[in-house]
Amino acid sequence: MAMKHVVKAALVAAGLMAFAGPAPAQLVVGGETIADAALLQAAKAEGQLLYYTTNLEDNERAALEEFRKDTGIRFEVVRLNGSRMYERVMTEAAGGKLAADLINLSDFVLMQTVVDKGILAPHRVPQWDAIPADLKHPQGLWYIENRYAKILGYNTARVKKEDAPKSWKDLLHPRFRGAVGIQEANSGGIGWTTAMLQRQVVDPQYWQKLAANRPKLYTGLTQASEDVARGELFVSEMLPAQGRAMLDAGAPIALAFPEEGIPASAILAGVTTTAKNPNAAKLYLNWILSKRGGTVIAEKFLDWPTHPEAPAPALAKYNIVFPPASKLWMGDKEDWVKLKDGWIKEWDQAYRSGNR
Amino acid sequence: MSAASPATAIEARQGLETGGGLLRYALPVALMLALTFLVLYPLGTLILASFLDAPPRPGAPLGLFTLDNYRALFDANNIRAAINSIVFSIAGSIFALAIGGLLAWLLARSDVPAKPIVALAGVAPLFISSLVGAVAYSLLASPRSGFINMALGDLGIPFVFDIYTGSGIVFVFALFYAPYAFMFMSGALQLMNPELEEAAEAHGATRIEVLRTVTFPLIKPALLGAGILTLVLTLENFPVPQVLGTPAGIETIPSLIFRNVMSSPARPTQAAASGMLLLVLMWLLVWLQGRFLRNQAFHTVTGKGFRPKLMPLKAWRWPALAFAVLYLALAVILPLFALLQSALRSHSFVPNFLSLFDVSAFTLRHIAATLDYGPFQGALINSLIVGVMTALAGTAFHFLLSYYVNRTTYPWRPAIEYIAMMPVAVPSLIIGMGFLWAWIALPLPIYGTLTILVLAYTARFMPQGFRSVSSTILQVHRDLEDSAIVAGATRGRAVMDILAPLIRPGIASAMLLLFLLAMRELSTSVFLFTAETRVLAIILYEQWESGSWARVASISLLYCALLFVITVAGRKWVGLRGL
Repeated sequence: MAMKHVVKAALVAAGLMAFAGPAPAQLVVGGETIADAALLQAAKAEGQLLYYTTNLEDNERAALEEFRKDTGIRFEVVRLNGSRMYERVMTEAAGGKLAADLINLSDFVLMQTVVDKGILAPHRVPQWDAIPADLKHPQGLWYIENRYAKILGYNTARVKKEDAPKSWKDLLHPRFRGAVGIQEANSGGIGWTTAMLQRQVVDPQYWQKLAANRPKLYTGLTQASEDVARGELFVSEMLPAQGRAMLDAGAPIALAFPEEGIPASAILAGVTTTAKNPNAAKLYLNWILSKRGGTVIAEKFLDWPTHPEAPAPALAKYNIVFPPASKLWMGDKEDWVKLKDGWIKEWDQAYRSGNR
Repeated sequence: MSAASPATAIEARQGLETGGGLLRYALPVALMLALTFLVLYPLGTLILASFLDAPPRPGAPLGLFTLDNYRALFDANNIRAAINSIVFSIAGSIFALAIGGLLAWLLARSDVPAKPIVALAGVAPLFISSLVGAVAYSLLASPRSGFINMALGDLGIPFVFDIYTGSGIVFVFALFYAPYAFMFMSGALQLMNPELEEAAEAHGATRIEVLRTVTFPLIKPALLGAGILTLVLTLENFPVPQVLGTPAGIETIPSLIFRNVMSSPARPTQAAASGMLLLVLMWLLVWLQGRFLRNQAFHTVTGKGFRPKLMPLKAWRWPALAFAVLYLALAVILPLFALLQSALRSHSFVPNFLSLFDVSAFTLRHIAATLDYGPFQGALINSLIVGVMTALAGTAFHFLLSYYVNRTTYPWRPAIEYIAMMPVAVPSLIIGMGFLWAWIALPLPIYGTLTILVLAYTARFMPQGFRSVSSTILQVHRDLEDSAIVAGATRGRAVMDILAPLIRPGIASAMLLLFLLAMRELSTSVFLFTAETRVLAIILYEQWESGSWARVASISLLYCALLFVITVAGRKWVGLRGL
């Protein structure tokens, strides 16, 4: 990346010092002001950040590493899947022992409970006006950090070109029997969104039909993508970044965007009221929601960033073009909440029916 | 050891000496408080939670009373999980018992060649935890790209070994729990008096008849003990069904509990109810064990010195050795081979079996990256700290309990012993939840520290610690201490000058046992860890769930190497007996 993260203001300040005394330095990257001097100084004084994240650990670490390069702030990450993170945050907060400065969840409903418990503190990022209303909490208690999508990846050594899966329906074909990897509907926002898309958009009986084809169930999809790479699975749901990791390792793998719809979910991040490093947490929110942070999300996560001017994800190296954020299927928000508990029970019945 | 001490006079004197002191009241109260904190309170919280509609969270009002959690146990999925648990556990235990028992018998009572190999086969799998074993077998025996299946396919053998099935789970249980049966049985077999067998033979019994009518009944208590131990351990085992069953939609009670806590929508109180079901099953087993073994002391196992007679295997000598070698290959060599393959390959696609040996595809990149991975380093340090602290503090506490129960005449001894042994029947997966809910509510700054893990391990491994310390204390007759007291020493002085030097090796062995158990612990820690307090087993599990195979394999290998070094060092220097 040719971007120079020059903290120009420091130099300017040094120049100014001659007549004006020590002037506060802002954080400016690529011409975009990310934090004012007061926040930057306070954050630097804290020097560290503990982030409870539901994003892929490697992704979140990569972003935080860029953040560290820009700000010098060290970080520690706890990565859990959505529901587990929720349980942990609620338990810790109830005991007055919430350790995180910043948390994120992949579920609007769970995040609302966290908001209701007063666990999150408001913060207004400098890019406030540029961020569409549906990507932030009206009081700034949370922001959508990134939107991530699930696509298909298949093993090109095991699947003939003409048999390559192009749609969710293709997974029902007998040639993929026992060789499809899917994520459990109950693990995080994306698992549920996918299940919902399959039933609402693809086929009301999709779960039962796919279950009959004996897919392998995963909580996290990194292993599923690896199982495609090693040929244990022919095709699996995966996150684009997981597919890229396999491509980079030289595995015989190709990606496909399913025709009926690309399920996507949002990661909602907010600063905690009990943060030991509240300024570092706010600074990170400012940073990740900036164009600079958005670019990192697009490039490192292969997710869709919140900043309107940040690029969409792309894998030019492998000639893979990603659809724009508007093509993602996130489901009807009301359905998403209303149907969840009952449908997930049905999903469990369909896939764990014992006669497998 | 003789059952009843004749030293009533000394007991009376001892009573006189210590009976009036404050200690007589303070000590039992203190021990009871400690046990309440460590065992009763977390367990009580868990039981309470199973009757509530929301988990007890400090500060929040208590949830509403409900029986729905228990009603839900009759859901189709829950019933299936319960049946799976019972079937897998029984089948796994039978095979583990057969393998471990046979190996123990071959080693102690037969003229099998190359006995060191048989002895190695009996215990070597211990440094491969069941989590690592399950992970290794996903690599070895997944239906399409498992190394074993790849070899079978390339050889043109039309058979596919699918580890993601109920039989796969039973198979892995059998492999990795056989050492427990082995250790339990070899002690009994080695100490068995051969005169009884010789007497039978002298009266004209055939070899088989001797085995059936003399040997087998004699070792029945050990067999039962080993059987119930493996039943309890497999029943509460979480990693194996999680790694091998869940992907195929096959659940057991522990994996169902985990799903209920960890999935969305989470049902933690329903998990608590499932935990109660598991608890009842395990309690039943422990109770059965108590019943079977009552009045069945090892009368034939006197400490008398004799060399047990070896049974000539004749034509079966080499097949017997082949059996031991095959087991060693399945339980140790193949898993390590699979882990090495995955840790050393630049990427995981292997076109055919022969290319497994293509050295050009190998790289040390993953192992180097793992060693350099911050969380791994942190976890390694945490594991060592927690292991050492548990060994020290845990053994000290277990010694106190054991000494109190076995050597004093103070009150509440049976109750204290009973509570100390209780965790043996509490499923480790839910007790972690109990610790979390119970302890986080207290104004103690332990959450998020390594201390909470040390406390949890001290509680969870109390039965093992207590039993191993007790057996050591009981080996030293109390007359030795009592004579010191009669001669005017204080009790403290008697313990320090007489008992301590005599039991030092046994205590060291108990500490090592605790250290190893703590290093391998996963199921309880999974609810208690935070960012800074991850241990090796947690890192491995996290990587299994959301990391790469190469990383998982690298961590597994390093983890095994560490356990191996500790076990070997332990056996060499401390004379570790049993796990």
